[in-house]
Amino acid sequence: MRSVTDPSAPEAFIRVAGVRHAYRGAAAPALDGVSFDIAQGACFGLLGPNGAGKSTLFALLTGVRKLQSGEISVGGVSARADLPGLRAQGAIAPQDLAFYPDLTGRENLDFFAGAYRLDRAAWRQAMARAVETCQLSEVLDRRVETYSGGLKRRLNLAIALLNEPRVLYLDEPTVGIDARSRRLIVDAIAALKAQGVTIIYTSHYMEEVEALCDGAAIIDRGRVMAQGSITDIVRAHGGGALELSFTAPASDGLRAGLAPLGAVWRDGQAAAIPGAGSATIARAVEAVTQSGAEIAHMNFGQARLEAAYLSVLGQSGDEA
Amino acid sequence: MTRSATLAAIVKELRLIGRDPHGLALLFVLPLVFILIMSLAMRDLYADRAGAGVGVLVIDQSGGAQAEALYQRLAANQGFALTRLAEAADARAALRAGDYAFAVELPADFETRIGEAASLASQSALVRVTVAADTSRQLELIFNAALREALQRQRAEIMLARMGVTSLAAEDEASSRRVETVYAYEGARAAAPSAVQQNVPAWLVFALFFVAVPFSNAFIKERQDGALARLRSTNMGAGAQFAGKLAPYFAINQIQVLLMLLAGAFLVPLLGGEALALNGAPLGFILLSAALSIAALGMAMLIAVIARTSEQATLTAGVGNIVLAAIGGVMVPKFVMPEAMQTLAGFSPMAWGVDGILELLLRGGGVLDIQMELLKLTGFGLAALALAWALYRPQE
Repeated sequence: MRSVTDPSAPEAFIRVAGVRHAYRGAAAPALDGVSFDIAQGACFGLLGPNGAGKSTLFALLTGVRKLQSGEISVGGVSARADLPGLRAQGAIAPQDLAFYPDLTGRENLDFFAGAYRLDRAAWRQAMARAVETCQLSEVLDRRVETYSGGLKRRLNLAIALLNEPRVLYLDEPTVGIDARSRRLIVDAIAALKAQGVTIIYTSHYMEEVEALCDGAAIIDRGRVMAQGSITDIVRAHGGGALELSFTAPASDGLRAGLAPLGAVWRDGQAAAIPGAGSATIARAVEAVTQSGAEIAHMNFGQARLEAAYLSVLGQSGDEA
Repeated sequence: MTRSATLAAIVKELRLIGRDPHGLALLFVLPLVFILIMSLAMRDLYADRAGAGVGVLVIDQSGGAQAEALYQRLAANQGFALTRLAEAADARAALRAGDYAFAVELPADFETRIGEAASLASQSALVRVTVAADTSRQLELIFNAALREALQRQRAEIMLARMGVTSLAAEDEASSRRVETVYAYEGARAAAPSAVQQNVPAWLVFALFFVAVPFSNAFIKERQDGALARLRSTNMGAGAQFAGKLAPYFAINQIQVLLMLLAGAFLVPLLGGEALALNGAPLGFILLSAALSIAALGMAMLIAVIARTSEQATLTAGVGNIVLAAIGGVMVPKFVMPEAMQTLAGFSPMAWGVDGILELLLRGGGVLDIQMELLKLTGFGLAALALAWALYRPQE
């Protein structure tokens, strides 16, 4: 594992130290010695494949599950000593939409405002701000079951904003929605970050993480495989990724030609070859030429987080 | 001023319940339909059990004193409910209508033939009995025996009068004391319930316990939707979550009780049944209704916490309720059960509820008369809630 931050940094707002968590009957722990620090006001990406342990970590950070071993503190409040205090620090927008489809948007917000025990005088303002941030005012009195996927995601986020959290836990907030809603949510998160809200963010959309996050940790099978600033992670693991896009969908011959170089296909017309050196580039161009494909765009030297992510997970897989 | 999480949960739950017409129908319409159907369909069965006389039509074509004496003699038997009919031709239609079991025709020469010597009397029938199609053979034999006994008694009195004996009153009084009736079971023989008195409490109790189905499903849907996990991260404790669920359903239970009692009192008679007479102490009804709701909601909460899926909850709550109803005197009244089954019924909370309501309705009981039922129902409910709490808290 390569670590690029100092876990003992005194300015850490969120501190996760040696956290281990195992589910009853599971062969391996869901989290195994996870440690990282996050500074106040930072946006931190928590990256990893499905089953890596991200949801368990979120459950521990938000106080939904009790800590088994290790230590978590948020804003100086220990999960072990003061679970209610820890919960009060933050709010979560879970990946699974967590509200009541039979109620209207307003009724959902009204209920969760009550659940947060907001001050009666302040909660209407908080609700108005959340509605404005997520642009829900036009649909507020419609039953949520009639909302589009994007609107549901926005309501999911709006509920998390009601208690004006110091830490916002966002679990794949843009998964499965249209481009407009996705842009709106990303913009809202950027605005919250600008207001000083600390954000922990999981997503499989690496370009979102690159755009929003200052730092990240890549987790696999319950362990942190890499962490640090986005720049450091890309520099350390991204190598000189070669990015290729083609004028037409890739043929079988092209795929076969690039496969020995470790090409990762983003879609049918674009691939990335992590850790590419000049020899690899020459071999890639030769494979493309032999397959008869035409390159529409080629980029080298500007390594991307996705390449680093795949590289780290590749090492993780090799280790397994 | 801080908003109350419990109040917010109650409002939310009421909104969700209000938007579930199928669940509401299950809670209100289904038991109402059961009450109406069972109260009307089983009216005659319960009337027989309560001692209503067998319907007998009497067509007196003689109009004499002896015919009247026979009528009064039969009418004195509480086992028969006599009705006079002028025309014999109308008798068959009345019997086919199902309101009477027999029609007895006294001929025009009844006055003279009743006192004839035995040798002459045997030439032809003195009275004619027409039996309705749905009258059992057993009842026919009993009625014929009673009629023969009445005729023989009347003929004997005529003979004795000819010999100067004019009164058998002392003998009649002595005879009535020679037979003592006792019952081999404990039950409300002195105040057997009518169909409406049995079915309103029975299906009312069933309806209260049936909230377990929508209650547990709502709870599990909340868990599956992730709302419960989100609530945990908001510091909304199990207490507020439980109260938010229990309070609205408690209110629904009380509305159910009120509506079912009103249906028994006012709707059943509109459809031809007997009106439910609301005897007993009002405080007894209020406490019993609350205790029943505590028991029903305790069971519902336990099922909600234990079941992992809606299918599990529906099956557990549905089958559990039907079993408790079957052994608890809801579907089959306890008083027709064998002794062993009556003992088994004592383990069903539904039986405690039905017994308590019958105690109030039939015997005009007060709070002290139903104290055991109140204690058992409340104890059961609180124990179930405590168990549900103990199981739910670690999940918290």
